[in-house]
Parts: sequence; structure tokens; C-alpha cells
Amino acid sequence: MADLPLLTLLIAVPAAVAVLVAAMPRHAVGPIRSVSLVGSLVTLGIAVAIVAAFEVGQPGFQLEEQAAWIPQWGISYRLGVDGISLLLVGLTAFFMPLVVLAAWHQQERAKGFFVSLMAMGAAMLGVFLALDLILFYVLFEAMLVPMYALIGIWGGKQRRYAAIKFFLYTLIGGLLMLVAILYLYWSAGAQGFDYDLLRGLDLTGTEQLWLFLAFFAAFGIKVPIFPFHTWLPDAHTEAPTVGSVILAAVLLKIGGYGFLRFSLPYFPEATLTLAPWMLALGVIGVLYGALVAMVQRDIKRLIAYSSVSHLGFVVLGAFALNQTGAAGSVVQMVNHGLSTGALFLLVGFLYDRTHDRAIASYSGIMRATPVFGGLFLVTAMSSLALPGLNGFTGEFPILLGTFEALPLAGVLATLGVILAAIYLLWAYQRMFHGPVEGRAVGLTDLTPREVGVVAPIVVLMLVIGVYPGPLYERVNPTVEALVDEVVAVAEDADLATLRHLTGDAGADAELVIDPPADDEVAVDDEEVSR
Amino acid sequence: MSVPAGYYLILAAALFSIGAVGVLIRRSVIVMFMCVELMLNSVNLTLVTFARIQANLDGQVLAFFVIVVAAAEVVVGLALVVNLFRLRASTDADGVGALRA
Amino acid sequence: MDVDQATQIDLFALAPELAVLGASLLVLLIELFLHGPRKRFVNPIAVLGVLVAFGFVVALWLDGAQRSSFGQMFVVDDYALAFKGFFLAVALFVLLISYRYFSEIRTFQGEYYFLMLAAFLGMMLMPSARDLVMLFIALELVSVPGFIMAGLRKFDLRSNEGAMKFFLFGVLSAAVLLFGLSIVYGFTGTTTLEGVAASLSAGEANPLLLAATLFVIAGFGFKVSAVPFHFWAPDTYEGAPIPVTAFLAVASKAAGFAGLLQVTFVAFEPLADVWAPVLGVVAILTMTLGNLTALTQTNMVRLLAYSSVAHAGYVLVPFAVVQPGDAALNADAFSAVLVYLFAYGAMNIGAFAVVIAVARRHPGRRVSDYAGLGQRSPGLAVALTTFLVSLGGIPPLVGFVAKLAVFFVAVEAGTTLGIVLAAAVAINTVISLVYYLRVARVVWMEEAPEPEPEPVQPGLALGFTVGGLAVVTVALFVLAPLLWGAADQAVLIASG
Repeated sequence: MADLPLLTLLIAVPAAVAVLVAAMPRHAVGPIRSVSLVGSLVTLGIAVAIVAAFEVGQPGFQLEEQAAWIPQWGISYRLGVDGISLLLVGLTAFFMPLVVLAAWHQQERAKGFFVSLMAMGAAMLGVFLALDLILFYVLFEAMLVPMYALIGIWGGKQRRYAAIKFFLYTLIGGLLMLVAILYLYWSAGAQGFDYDLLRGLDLTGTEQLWLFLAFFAAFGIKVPIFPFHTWLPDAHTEAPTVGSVILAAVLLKIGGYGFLRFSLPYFPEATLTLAPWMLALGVIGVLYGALVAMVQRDIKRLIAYSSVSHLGFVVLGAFALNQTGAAGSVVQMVNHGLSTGALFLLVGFLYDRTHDRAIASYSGIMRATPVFGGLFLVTAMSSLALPGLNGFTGEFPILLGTFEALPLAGVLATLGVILAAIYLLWAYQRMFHGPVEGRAVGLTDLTPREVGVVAPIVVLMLVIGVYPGPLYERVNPTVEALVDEVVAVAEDADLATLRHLTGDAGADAELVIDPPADDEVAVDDEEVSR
Repeated sequence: MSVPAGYYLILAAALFSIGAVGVLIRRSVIVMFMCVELMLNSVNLTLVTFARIQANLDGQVLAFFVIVVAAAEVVVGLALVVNLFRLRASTDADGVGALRA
Repeated sequence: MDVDQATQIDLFALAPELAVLGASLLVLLIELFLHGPRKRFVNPIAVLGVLVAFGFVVALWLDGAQRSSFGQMFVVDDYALAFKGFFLAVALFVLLISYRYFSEIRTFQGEYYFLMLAAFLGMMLMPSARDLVMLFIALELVSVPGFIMAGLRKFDLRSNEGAMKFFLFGVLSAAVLLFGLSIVYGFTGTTTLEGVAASLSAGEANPLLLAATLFVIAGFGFKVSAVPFHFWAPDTYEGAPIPVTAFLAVASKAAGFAGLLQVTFVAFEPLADVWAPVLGVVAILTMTLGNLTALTQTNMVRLLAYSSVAHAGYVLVPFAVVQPGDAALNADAFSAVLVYLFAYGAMNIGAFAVVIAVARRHPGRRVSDYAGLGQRSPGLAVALTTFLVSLGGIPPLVGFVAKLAVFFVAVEAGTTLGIVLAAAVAINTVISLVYYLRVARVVWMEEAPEPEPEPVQPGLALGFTVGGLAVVTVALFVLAPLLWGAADQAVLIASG
């Protein structure tokens, strides 16, 4: 068991399934989806084996695999998993069979659909495992084409526009990151692209700043951070249900993952210098997303903006630069994946029946379809971070960490939690309560297959909600080491921002943070009121 | 009594320039060919002069190749002109407009 | 040039060229005795000639010794063999995609295959040429058959006009190139590339000499369709028979780059301070103009034509970072050019092969003809998408390896120009994806017009080419080290 190259298998199985499905005749829809389901279940099994083999309490990489790929330029094939990637790999593998099941009745060009799905799975799992920067970049970009196809071929009315927008945004960010990666390579003496090799380089402050910004372009767009978020609502709204689920549950996590994996350890000085700004952007994201979500008429768009808001917390946690915040940020990524993924699935089931996403078209769904209503309620509660459900276990530590770093940001972010409760419950009340009217009339409840898709997610929400210990056990050592490393650099450098960011919050920090935060929020308010 | 080598070079440069300007401003394909020939022959003159200055034969060898290649090019070019003339009854380069971006 | 030495001939070293020459003459002769549809059987003869030549290249490679003929004018080394192998592979695919096209048109088959082989003969001489005289002959041997082939659709005015434009630009640039060569010779007293380099690094820079080097580079710039010498390309590409277009866009362009490599990296290396920045500006202009113009094209061939102009810009980037005397950097730049050219050859010929297949049903070659291709002919559609995405430089395809190579040296140079070039490549990659994806979108996301056209049937030769090149496009990504290793082996830079 231990000798098996588990990580390679984890990527190879979905990739092989994609090739296998591509070779099948296109009218054999039944076999195609069966093969896909079996393949994704095998993938999940391998992921479970990886989680089992993962040694708790170790901060470093485990189960490493390495082989030379382009030795001329020191590009290697290196995979490994640590506390941060373990959870995200688990999340991705967990969702793969669910999305296959959710797309079970996909008839239109089913073959291409499942090929894209499996190719996406392979690339996403690879991104979280890659420990060579070129390999990481390759997998990062390799996701573009299948995702472009998923949105562009099987999406809604504006699918072409949304697909190209998604593609170009991600591509631009990725290319800037590539330039930065090559710069790192030359700065490190052209030894190679190994993750550890490029870590802790002796870079000047200006260099760090520029490189940080180049990586930020790639990850900030992926998260997405305000003001780079505009592609997300379009992509989410136009993508088919499964596309939205993949996007929300996994793809967006690459941004937060990238911050923790690359930005923080690679550019600690720049991180410290820019941390107040990052916190400001995080707060803006939280509030802006929530405020815009409030005025949406389209339920899918509402969830898309709620994503912007929830992912703002991930940024806050990552740049609070303390263990509480960073660990919370990783757990928040998992929780957001679960709850938003489930919300998109549920809205997708609704859309399949009525082909209408307008909130105003529905009333009294709860009475018409109690199972659907119940599952939606639990998921919405999880999304708005009700204690006892999973959302709370991520957002609460993030808020704690943010308070510790910068109290004002913590206060404003807490406002975001309240806003989340308002827009979600308000939408819930309009759609699910009241007399059975509009499209809710004659609505059929979820089929066993649909319940089977959502139920595992809801179970996981409850389990994490009451017992998040196992997650934190695995994340904490890695995150602790990471934060220690950044703070150690800060102590050496004795940067001006240091005092505020390591607990000793003073008035200066608020001066730094105040103007941008207030200005932007004011602007947002205007936008919203318009 | 010998003419200094520099004079040959100046003459060659002048011929080359006349040819280049001719190609650029004349509109008849035939005249453009003639201008290109002028340019090629100015190159020959330069080559032979330099061969003399450098006191080796490489330049003269290259000049022979230029003459041969120029002849081949003229054959191809005239063939194209004849065919174009058959289709359009004109040798005016400006009228060539079926292809526009 | 020692006369005794110049007449010494190593037949083994010349064997690939002799095979191609023999095949070209044989084709011309045999075609006379074939009639009607049977004239198409000259194609297999040409293919056979190319395969024999390829065998000789492999034999020379296994032999390993550096050979030369005609004194030092013609040299067979790793660099020459790498390019010859590449050209012969390209020749094979160009012949395969020509077979159906010309057997259906049924005109000038003997002449066409003769001219094509003659042009490839010139290409094979190009990387072996280590002397300005030989270089000039090789260049003309590539160009002149090209002029005729571009005009082979005699009945079509567009073909004629394209050929005429090509011809006029071609001879003008040849004259400029020659004038530059004559001045270089006049100042250095030699025509060998090494001799020129030695003389240039010894003497001080003379403005006239600098101008002459730029003249020579401009002459090759025409061949590779770099801005501002690109005007002929789209018109000629559109008018020419499509297999000829593929030839011009890949083989003839690669030959131009082979010549440019020898001239810049070997002969003019000491003057790199002058020409490298010029080529940097040319590179940026070429890629930007090519891509921006391609954005608005509705004709598939013109779109690929402008895309190939843009790709010439990417290939020029490594030239622009060359620094005199920096052997390590120059070697990396050199191998980046090779990697890019090899990758470009595979994906671009593939794209043209699909265009030929589709043009049999839709002679109009409009992008809109590709609507619903994903439903009608999924195999071709997948292949076309692969080629286009690869041209756009998205992993996991060979186009990404090529772009990475260019990026690499641009950043490696560490100069402001290098960073600007890297940024320009990045921006242009994004622009180019807009139109590559537009085609992909038409192929996959638009409905075929009513009544639905019949599926495109490529036939055996075309099908093999499309499938084979699609596999190569994917495989060379995984096997990138092989590509890179070959390129590193083949580096040829000024010694000392």
C-alpha cells in the first residue's frame, strides 16, 4: 500500500477515464456515465487512502513523488501533500462522484461533457499536488480548456461571453505568474523549478513587491478578490449546474491555496507590507459581495455574489498572518466548497424543473416540496455560518484571527456575516415560505438520485459543524510552520507594519486601513443603491 | 591612368538607389522588373570592385551566381506577367486589387 | 576560396540532397509518360525520394562525424542534420496533404512536385551553408519555385496577384540582401561566415557595415514575413493552393529562420548590440500587428496567414536578446528558436491539413463554414481544436513548450528589452487566443447551417497527417525533453 504512487494515481485515474470515455462511441451514453461514475469513485477511494496514509502532526510534505521531466531546465515532476493541500484534495475528490451523479441525465453531447468533467478533475487534483512551479502552471492552465468548454457548450444564454471572459481573465493572471516564476528561477541561480528550491530566496523589497503582485494577479483573479471578481457572476450564472459546482467547490479554492502555498512563504516581506491592503480588499470583498447579493433577482447570481463574500473571508484569514486566521482560512475553503456547491446543486435541480431562476417566480416551495426545502434550509444555514454547522467552524476562527491582526477589519467582516444572514434568509423567505404560487405550483420533490447527491454533503456539513477537530489537526502543523516563517522574517526585517500585525495593534494600522476601506464601501453602497 | 575604386562604389550605390526608388514608385510591373535588374547589376559592380580591392576572387564568383539567379528570376517573373496579362489585359500593379484585407 | 579545396566533394555528405534532387528530376520525367488520373502516381515517387533522403540524414547522424564538401561552404553537422530532418518531415507531410488536392485539380502535377522538391532541396542546403555564396543560392532555390507554386492556380486571378506580389517583394528583398552581402564582403574580404565573424570582432564598427548587416537581416525578414516585410504574406497565402500555403507558412519560413540563425548567431554575432534591439522592435511589431489583424479575419486561410505572421514575431524574440560574447545566453536563445520552429511546424501544418480537408466541402474557406464541425466530423474538429489551442500556447500541448522556451530566454537576458519582450509575448498570447478560440467556438458551439452539409471526409493521406500531427502535438509536450535535447545538440554559435 505504502509503495503505491498514490498521488500519481489520483491524477492518472481521472485522466485515464477521460481518455477512455473519449474513445467510446458517442451514442453510448449509459456506458459513458457508468465509466465516469466508477472512475470518480475510484478517485475518491484513492483520496481516502491518501487521507488515511497522511501522518497527522507533520508540517511538511508527505507521500512525495519525484521524477525528472525536462532536466535541461530543471523542470521536474514532483508531487506532495501537506495539511493545506490534503483538505482541498479531499474536497475535490469528494465532489467528483457527486457531480457525475448530478449530471446523470445529461443527454446533449454527453460524451464531451464527461470527458471535460474528468479532465477538469485530473487537472484540479494535480494543481493541489504539484510541487514544481512549471508543473503547477501547466496544470493551472490545463484547466482552462475543459472549463471553457463546460461553460461555452453546455451553459446558458450568454454562455459564449461568459466562457471567453472566464478564459481571458484566468489566462492573463496565469501569464503574469509565469513571468514571475521565470524571474524566480533566474534569481535562484537557474537551478530548477522545485517548490523548495525557490523558497526563501534573497530578494530585495522591490523585487518581492512586484513578484507578489504578479502572483496576486493569478490568484486574486481566481479567488476572486474585488475588483477582479467581475468574471465570476457571469461564469457562475451561465455555467451548467455541474460547472457552477466545480467552479465554486474547487476552482476558486486555487486562489486561496495559491496565497498560502506561494505568496506567503515566497514573499514574506511583501506579504507584510501589503497585508493591510490585502485585509482591506478582503473586507471589501466580504461587504461588497454581500451587499450586491442582497439586490439580486436571480437566485444563481445571488449565490455567485455570496461566493465573492465568503471568499473574502479566505483572504482575510490568509493575510491575518496568525495561525488562527490561516487555519480558519483553509477550513473556510472546504466549508465554502461544501455549502456553496450544495446550493448550486439545489438551485440546479430547481432550474431543471422550471427553467426559471428568478427569485420572484417562486413562493411557498417549502410546502410544495418539503425535502427540497429542508435541504436548502440546512445548506443556507451552513452558508451563513450558523453555529453547529460547518460554515461557523471556518468563519469564526478567521474573525478571531482578523481581530487579532486588525480590529477594524474584524468588525467590518463581522458585519459581513450579518449581511449574509440577511440576504440568504430574505431570499429563503421569499422563495420557500408563503402560499404555493408561481412556478412552485406543481413542483415535484427531489428524486432519490438528487437526494443522494446532496445528502452526503449535508452529512459532512453536520459532522464538520460539531466536530471540526480532525480538519484542524491536519491543517494546524503546516499552517503554524508557515506563519512562523513569515513572522520570523518580519522580526528580522523589523518592518513598520510588524507591530500591528503581530498582535500589538496600534492606531497607525487603522490609519493605514481606514481610507481605502471606507471609500470603497461608500462607492459600493452607491452602486448598490443604483 | 586608373579610376579610383571608390568611384565604382559610388556609381554602384547610385544605380542601386535609382533601382530601389524605381521599384517603389513605378506602377508598371515590367518597369519594376527592370529596376530590380538595375539593383542586381549594381550589386555585381560592387562585388567586382570589392574583389579587386580585396585582391581575391570570392566577389567575382558571387557575381556570377547573381547573374544566373537574376536570369532565372526574370524568367519566372515574365511568366507571371504573361499569365496576369492574359487574365486582366493589363500590367499595372495598382489595378491588382482582387485581394484586399 | 581555394580552388582545389572547393572542388573536393564528399558524396556521402551530399547524399540527402542528391536523393531529393534525383527524385525531383524523376518526377518531372515520369509525369510525361503518365496520362489522365494516373499522373497522381508521381506523388508516391516524391514521397519515396523524401524517405530515402531521410534515411541518409539518419545515416549521417549515426555516422556522427562532421563532414564538409566544396571546401567549407557546405558543412554537415548536428545543426544541419537537425534542420534537414525537420525539413524532410515537413516535406513528407506537405506531400501527403498535396496528394488529394492536386489529384482532384489534375493540373501541373509533375511541375508542382518538381518545384516542391526543388524548394526543399534549397531548404536542405540552407542549414549546411556556411558561406554567403551558398546561403544566397539556397535562399533563391527556396524562393523561386515558391513564386511559381503560389501562382499555380493559373485560372484564378487571386492566385496570380498573390504570386506577383510575392515575386516583386521577393526579388526586391533579394536585391537588398545581395547589396548587404556585397558590402559585408567588401569590408571583411571573405564570404565564409566564420571569417566574417572573425573580421568583424577584430575591426571597429563602421556605419556602412552596420547598415549592410541590417540589409542582410531585412532580406531574411522578408522570407520569414516579419513586419514591415509581411505585406505579401496574407495575399499570397490566400491565393496559393492550400498545400503551397502550408509550405510557405511553415517550410519556407523555417528556412528563412535557418538562414537568419546562421547569419546572426555566427557571422554578425560581434555586432549583436546593433541588430538585436532592432530585431526586438521588429518582433514586437510583428506579433502585435499579426495578431491584431488576425482578430478581424473571416477567411480561415487569411486568419492562419496572419497568425503565422504573429508566430514569426515570437520566433524573433530570442534573436533580440543575443549579446555579443555571452555564449551561454546565446546558446539558450538559439535552442529556443529551434524548439519554437519545430513545434510550430507540427501544429501549423496540422491546422492547414484540416483546412484542406474542410475546403473540399467548402471551397469558400470562411470561418463560418466550420460551424457544427464538432457534430459532423468530431475527429477533425478535435484535431483542429488541438492545433489551434496549441498555437495559442496552452498546456498540455507542444505550443506551450515553445512559448515557454521563448519566455525563458527573454527573462534570462535580464535586460529591460528582455522583460518588455516577455510582456509583449504574454499580451499577444492573450490576443491570439481570442481568435483561436473564436474558431473553436464556431466549431463546437454553433449549429451547422441547414441543410446540414455532409461530413467532411479527409481520405487516407490527409487523415493520417491530421491524426499523426495531433498526436505529435500532444506527445511533444510530454516528451519535451527530447525536443529540447535535440535543440541543445544542434546549437551553432560563433566559436570564441
